[in-house]
Amino acid sequence: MTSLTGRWRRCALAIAAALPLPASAGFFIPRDVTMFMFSASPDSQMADIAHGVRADLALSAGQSRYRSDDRRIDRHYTTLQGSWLIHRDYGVDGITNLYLFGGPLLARSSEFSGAGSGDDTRAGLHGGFWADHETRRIYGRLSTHTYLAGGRSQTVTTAQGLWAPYAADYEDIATWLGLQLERRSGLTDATQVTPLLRLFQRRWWVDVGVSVNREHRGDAFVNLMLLF
Amino acid sequence: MKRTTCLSIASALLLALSASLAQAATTIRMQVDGLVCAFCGSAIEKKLRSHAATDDVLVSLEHKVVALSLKDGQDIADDTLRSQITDAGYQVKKIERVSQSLDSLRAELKGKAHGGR
Repeated sequence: MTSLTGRWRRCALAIAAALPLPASAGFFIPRDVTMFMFSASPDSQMADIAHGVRADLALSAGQSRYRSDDRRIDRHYTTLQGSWLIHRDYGVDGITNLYLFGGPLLARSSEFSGAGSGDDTRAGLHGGFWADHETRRIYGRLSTHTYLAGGRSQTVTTAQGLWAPYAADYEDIATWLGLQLERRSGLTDATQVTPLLRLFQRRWWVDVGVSVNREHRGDAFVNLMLLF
Repeated sequence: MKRTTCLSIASALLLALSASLAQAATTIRMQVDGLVCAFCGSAIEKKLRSHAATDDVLVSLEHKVVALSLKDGQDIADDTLRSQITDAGYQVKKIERVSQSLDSLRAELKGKAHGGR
């Protein structure tokens, strides 16, 4: 495959810059499977690669960036993470999961060095929980992710509810419609409300949405996941 | 006497041929709990295809069925299958060997799915 031409590269960067909020990836990473995830929005971008080392444990490394609504705070995190499947319930028509995750991080921000001094870096920790329930037609999720570094903390809390208009089988492209509510304490006082379209098939997954709340109206986001 | 011998040989050949066809059509059919999403379920296909004895794999979310056809003269132990499905995050409820080909099973499941809608 040839590299992107200047025109296409500028186009791709423009699209990426127009995309807003971060959509967290799924945690269902089976043993010996590797997942690449990328999400982007005007206020956050994230890239992550995860590998299932056991049926109940995945390890990942990632890079993320969050910006406050007033654009005064810009935080960059480099993270290592373990995700543990604490509980899985196999129902007749669905599956329920509870995960705990966490690990070390390096945070880079001008907050750590004082105004006009440029960015500085601090070591810290991050972690949280993720609970979801899924059938072939209904999906619900609640998750929270806290970052601690240099005396600062930030918590991203996300709730999702989605519905599939048809029950896709293994070979089909699955289509889901729903709503995501997200709050980033320490960066915004608003709850971001984003209608979602989710499409996935066997090895790829895409979420797209456009926020509708006053503070983030028109902000689009995309979340892409690939399995290897 | 000569005619009886010929008939016996022909019968033996037919038996051997039918046994060989049955062997070639060996399919392992598993009932799996938790199969709701193709993205997550693709790990099962990856696991099973990585096995040297696997010829082809079928996954049906509608019927909670995972099936695979075996290469001639080869087999995969139940414990191995159970372990691979568990590693992929699912529970095996039942494993059975059927003489039905994978294509035939695929057609049967599709027929049931369409009939049920």
